[in-house]
Amino acid sequence: MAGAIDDAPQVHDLLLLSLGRVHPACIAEPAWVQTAMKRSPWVVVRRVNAPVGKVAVGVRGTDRSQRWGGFMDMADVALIKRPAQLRVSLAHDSRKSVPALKTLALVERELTDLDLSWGPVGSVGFELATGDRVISEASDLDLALFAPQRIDHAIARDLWGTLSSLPAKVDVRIETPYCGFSLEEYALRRSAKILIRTPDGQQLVEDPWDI
Amino acid sequence: MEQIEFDYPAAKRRITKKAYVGVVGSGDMEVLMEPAGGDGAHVSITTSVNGFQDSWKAVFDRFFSKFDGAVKIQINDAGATPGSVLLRLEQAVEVIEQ
Repeated sequence: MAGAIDDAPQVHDLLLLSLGRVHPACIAEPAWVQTAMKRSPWVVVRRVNAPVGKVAVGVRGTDRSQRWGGFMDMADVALIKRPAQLRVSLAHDSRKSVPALKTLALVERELTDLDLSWGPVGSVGFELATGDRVISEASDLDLALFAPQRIDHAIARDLWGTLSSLPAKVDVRIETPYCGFSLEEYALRRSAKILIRTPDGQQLVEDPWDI
Repeated sequence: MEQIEFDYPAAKRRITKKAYVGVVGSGDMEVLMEPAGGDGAHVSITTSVNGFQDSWKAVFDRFFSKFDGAVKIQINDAGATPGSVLLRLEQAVEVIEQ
């Protein structure tokens, strides 16, 4: 891997492991983790601080309750797929009628002119990156929208207005260089504070671009 | 999907404001907190994650050991982590006590 900062794994990136090995963080590894890693050696980068040379990752099992976090060596990263690289064109034709993927196709059309990097995460991102059929008929479409600079409230409201009226439920996480938070919460502004997620935990703040 | 209800009859302080905070998104929840009709507080939780009745009870037992407002709380949960549950409740209280 090249050493440039931009190549460092970021939250929501999907990583292919060359050795298929993840070290336990603090919780002992459940039995299903080995099975899941053998079936598909892909993990997702988590929003957790990792020791030098390691990256915090999550393993996805077949059941919804099967999510497990650990650390892996940066040297074991064989391939990185970023949300912005994942589009509905990567889906198998037989899958394009699943509501979450139909909705992604509509989102791609709606966001053509958007000047920000974005892409699917969650089950949709995982299936598009890995080819594993993990999206169900009931799956939401989870998106990450990267906003290094402040998004104006009026623009956020328009964006949420568009994205909240599509066939599948769309859940958008805005990512700043410091934290992630919900587009819906930022756009609707029901209270003066907003809940942000950082590598050190969650907190309520007034301005997610100034923390 | 699971529906969970709790009552806290000792919470009798009159509340006049209403709060609506949070979102029904992955790992989060929505809280509607408003004045209860009569004496005592009532909590009603709709959650997408089954089997955590005891954890919810522990959260609200602790919450009502400090908070005495006669409120009606409605929660729509999409798998909120324990950390977000406490922050969302704190946020709702901040709004109604303003």
